[in-house]
Amino acid sequence: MTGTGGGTGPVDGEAPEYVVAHLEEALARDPRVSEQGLHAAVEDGCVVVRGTVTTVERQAAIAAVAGDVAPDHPLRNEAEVADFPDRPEPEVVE
Amino acid sequence: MIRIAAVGDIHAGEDSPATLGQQFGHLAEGADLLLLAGDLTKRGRPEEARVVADAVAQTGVPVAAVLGNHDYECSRHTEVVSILEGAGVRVLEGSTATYEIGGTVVGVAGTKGFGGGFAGACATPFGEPETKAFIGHTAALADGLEAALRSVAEADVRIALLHYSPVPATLVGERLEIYPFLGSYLLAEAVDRAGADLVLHGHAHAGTERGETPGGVPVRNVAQPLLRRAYALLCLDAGRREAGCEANA
Repeated sequence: MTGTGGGTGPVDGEAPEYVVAHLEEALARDPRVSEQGLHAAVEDGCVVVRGTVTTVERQAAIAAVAGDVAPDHPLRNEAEVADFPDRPEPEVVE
Repeated sequence: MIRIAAVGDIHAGEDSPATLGQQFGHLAEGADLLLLAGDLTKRGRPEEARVVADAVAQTGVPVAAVLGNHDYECSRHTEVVSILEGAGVRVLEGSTATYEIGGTVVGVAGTKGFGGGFAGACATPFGEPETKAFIGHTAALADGLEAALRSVAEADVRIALLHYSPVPATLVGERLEIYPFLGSYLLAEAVDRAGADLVLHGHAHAGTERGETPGGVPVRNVAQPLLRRAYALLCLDAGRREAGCEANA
């Protein structure tokens, strides 16, 4: 991971900053997830992913991507699945 | 009173048909028009565009859209546009769609927009060609938006439909460091020069729903992850927006 521009291979043993950066890039670029709105952090040795994804399939895929990029870090997957059953309330734009 | 359903960042994929069908199933009961503020697809693949096309074709209302950055990921955006337009969606880029709804003419001017940042913290077209290209892209799209808005100056209601944000107010909640990748003041300046009744955008999932341009035009961030509802339902009156939406909804 030294300037290859790829950034999605395993990064364990690297500084947390690089783990976070490479995982966020992988979550955006990996076709299983493809979500730029997810944010990663390293907390107490765990990789934590937060944000919203569109489907349960993509939520589950976060674990697969994190497993590829940071295989030695336990994952706390806190990403939510978008679920909006309520009908919208109208807003009169003033 | 015009009732506009607006949403961005639906990120449709082949795993989304049931979700989209549920979200848009009753849309026509409360809305006259559906506006999609970009990131319609997960990665800009034709298969994903077909999911969007099938879902919106069943709404029974006119649909206009702009593309977002996700829709360009696989460099197949031309096919994405063709599929959407084949389903009756007007896909806008520096162009307009006009609708007559209950005697009111609604003009929608659209562009994806792009980044660059906002006053006091924005990139300038100086130095490397890559930097000039970045800001040049935003400036060209802003110019296209301004021309499009001017071309529907006679409409009773004018709406600017974007993916990237024109103002920082609707980005509050996002990390400040990424604002230059979420929008540009050039888009707001185009709106304020040409005039509009409402600006819609997406892209900023963790932003804020409401803002306005420096010229006082209302701005709504309709990114679905921010809304936490299927779409925003916005009501405007040609006589500068009077109450009464609930009675029509």
